[in-house]
Amino acid sequence: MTDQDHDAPIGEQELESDRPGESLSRLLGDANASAGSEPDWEKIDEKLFSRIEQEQAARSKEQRGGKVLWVAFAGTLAAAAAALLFMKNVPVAPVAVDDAAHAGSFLSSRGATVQVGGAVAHEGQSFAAGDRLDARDGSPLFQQEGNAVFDLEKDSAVSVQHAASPLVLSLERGATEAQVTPVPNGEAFAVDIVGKDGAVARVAVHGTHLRVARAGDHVVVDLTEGVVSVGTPARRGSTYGSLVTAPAHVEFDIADLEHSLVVDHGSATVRAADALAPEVKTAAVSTHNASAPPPGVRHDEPARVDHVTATAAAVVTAPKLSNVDPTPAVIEPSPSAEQDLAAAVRACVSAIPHAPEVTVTISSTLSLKVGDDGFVQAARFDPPLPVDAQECAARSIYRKTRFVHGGDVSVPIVITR
Amino acid sequence: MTDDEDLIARASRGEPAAFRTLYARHRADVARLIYRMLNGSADVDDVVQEVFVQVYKSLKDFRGQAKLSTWIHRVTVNVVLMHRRAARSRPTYSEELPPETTPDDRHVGPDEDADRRARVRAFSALVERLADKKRVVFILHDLEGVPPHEIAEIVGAPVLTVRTRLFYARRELETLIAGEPLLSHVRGTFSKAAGGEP
Repeated sequence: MTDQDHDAPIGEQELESDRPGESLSRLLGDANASAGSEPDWEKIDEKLFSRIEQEQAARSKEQRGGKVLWVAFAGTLAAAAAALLFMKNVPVAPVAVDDAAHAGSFLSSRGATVQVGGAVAHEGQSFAAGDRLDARDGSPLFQQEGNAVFDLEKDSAVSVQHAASPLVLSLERGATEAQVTPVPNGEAFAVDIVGKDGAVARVAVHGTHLRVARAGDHVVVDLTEGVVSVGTPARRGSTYGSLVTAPAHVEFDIADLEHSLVVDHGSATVRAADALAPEVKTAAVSTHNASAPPPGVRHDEPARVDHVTATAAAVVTAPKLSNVDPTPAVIEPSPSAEQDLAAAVRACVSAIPHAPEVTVTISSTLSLKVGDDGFVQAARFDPPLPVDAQECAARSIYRKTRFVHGGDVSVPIVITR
Repeated sequence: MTDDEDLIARASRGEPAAFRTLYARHRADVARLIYRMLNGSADVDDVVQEVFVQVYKSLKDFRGQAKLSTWIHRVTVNVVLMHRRAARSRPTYSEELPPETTPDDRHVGPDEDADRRARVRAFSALVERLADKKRVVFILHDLEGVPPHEIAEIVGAPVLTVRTRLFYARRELETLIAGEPLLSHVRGTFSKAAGGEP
């Protein structure tokens, strides 16, 4: 039988009424019931993503080749502009790294062999969206000028998913720790963790010091400063998830983030911050100025909370987030905790400036998981509020408000102003 | 923007997580189609890999003119056909049998599962004898349940042509089934139950 003899026209009616005969139907049923054995997904995944990495590396090289002159020119312009502003003593905004071809640079190897985009990298080399950063035998430092400094712990790897606003790293294995300069609006930095089944969890930050580690699909976040949102990446805007304030030790499974999320604010469980800042090479307009941890705090030491006072750049007006009192005053359970929180959230939202001629109505639900001790363990706004309002609210939600009973609490928030 | 569209846009920009999610969503369907089109050949794993490499490379050209699943089916069919053509041009030194077909399997016991496996193997061998165009349409429609208008997009032919190919594929298979001794039991069952089959 050839391919030429089957396109001969058949009557429309004959085609309409065409059905498989009974023998064929029976055999089709049998065939459908036996779909074959499951492929070796581990083997396929490994080979497939290795090939895709090579594709990405080739693409990045092409992009960089084409844009190298433009980047050099833009860099010269930025440096000149920064120098001029600095001389005039005018506050300088952090450099926005919008160019997808440049996400940051490899700052210091600290004894590691580092690969960027599949090739051995040297200090000072830039990396781009799509690049994979792979650390062996050490813990190298990377930076995005003016925004974040992060390390990769030994034998860790990330891929750069998004170059800026926010800088998004996908943690493939191991751990990364970051010091992120607060930004006035939105999220500055995020770590995605993709599970084996394709589910994605995101730890997104506005400005903070955090460490994210994974062991398979189990994720551990240690937060020593600021506020993070742990949830799923939003299509646009802020990450939809639970707000967590420092100090906090967070654990969850990617496949079931909502039910597996455990937040422990006990200072004894939070891993101490690593010293990322002392090796930061000041960029032309770098605003990063975090200080070292106290002497004697080792990277792998189990943790007590040490307040590494990362000073936000003087030019950034975002509130300083690191002053968490490790010994808060005794807070009595309050029967009006729900109303108190609703009022605090309203105050936070009201503090956000808006055009006076516009009436704004904000409607959200604050879902709280309250522990047996009456303190909030996890909080989530659905839909999310503006990032600044959420961070402001988080300061009232955690450790400042105590419910009489534990359990799940839902607080409707409707604000018209 | 649908969830798939958002993922496509992000994957096209080079976000690995977005591509991984797309891959996780579609890989089982792709693997099943490949398994059927290759008659359970041992090359299924390699071809699945090749399909998703092609999807990754071509994603930036996907304009949303068809459903993503339809487009991925199209890539899959093309990759499988290319693979088969390449395999045909390779020298073979012995007759290749599907992985489950070992000499011992031919002497199956009386249990229903073994009977069914034997029938499926014999049937798959007959489907394998169809010409490429008819086989693709038959597998997509009668085994994968893809509607004719989507098959038309996958194979790049008018819907009427798709239905004509399906018509001839079924007729040809029924003739082949009638002449296949291993499937005489199936014919016998229906002859008794339904008073004979044309």
